[in-house]
Amino acid sequence: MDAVADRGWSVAESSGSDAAPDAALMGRIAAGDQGAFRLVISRHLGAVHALGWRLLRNRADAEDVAQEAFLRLWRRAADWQESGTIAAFLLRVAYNLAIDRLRRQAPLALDEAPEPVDPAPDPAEGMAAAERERAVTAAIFALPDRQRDAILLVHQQGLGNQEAAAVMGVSVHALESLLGRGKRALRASLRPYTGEE
Amino acid sequence: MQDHSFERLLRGRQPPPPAPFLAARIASLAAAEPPAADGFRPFAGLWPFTGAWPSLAGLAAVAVLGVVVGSTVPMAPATATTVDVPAIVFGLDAEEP
Repeated sequence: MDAVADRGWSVAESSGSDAAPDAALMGRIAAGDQGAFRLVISRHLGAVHALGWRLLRNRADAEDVAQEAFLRLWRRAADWQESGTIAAFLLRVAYNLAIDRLRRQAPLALDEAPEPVDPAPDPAEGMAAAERERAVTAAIFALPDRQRDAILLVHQQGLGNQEAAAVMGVSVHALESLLGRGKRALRASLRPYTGEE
Repeated sequence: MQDHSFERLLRGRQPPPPAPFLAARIASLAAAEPPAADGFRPFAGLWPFTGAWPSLAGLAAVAVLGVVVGSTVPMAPATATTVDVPAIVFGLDAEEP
């Protein structure tokens, strides 16, 4: 299994490149076709919700963000432009909505980072994994906003550099720079967990 | 630590799946509002200042409208009132020799 598929969602899976292409689906949605809209929901809800959760670390907020992103797609179907993909539109809207919410929230504290869902069978290993997870989350959220977003989109959401840059509204070069700086800072702050000197 | 394992550390855990009812809720909310409601703008192509550049059709329509209005609405007659500036400024009576 490759690294992207291992994350439970891949860009290719969400790009609408299979049975019905995006432009055709959006044409049907603009005409009020509920079935086409449900198909889009079933294809992309996982990824959009995951992005909201990764930024907001809260299931209810992630659901609100995902819901609003899909409703905006529905409302704006008549204005759809073929240059973009449905996945890119939804992720960009969800990203912007999540960032707006994030700015209104207090910074994520280490103690507030959520527990992992699936701890290892061995309790000791499970606790160590939970501690590591909390430290990684806290370290990522301690980064400057744009570096945090670049790391979340590329290393956690599994987007390619070009897609992540489009979601953030920056150039690929700028995204790569953010990734480089973010990873350098994370290597330093996560040294106890990486065993690096 | 190798790049590979560092990136695995960064990847973190799998987010929880969306609630099972979420897809149905979004679909039912969408069903309650037709997609055209927000997108229907009958004069969208004519209004010149909505996009990044003024639309040529919109500017032309505004120009034609200006010409039509200008040529059909009668101009107001010139007022007969005149202002005697020297009298106001210097207190002079213009009629005095």
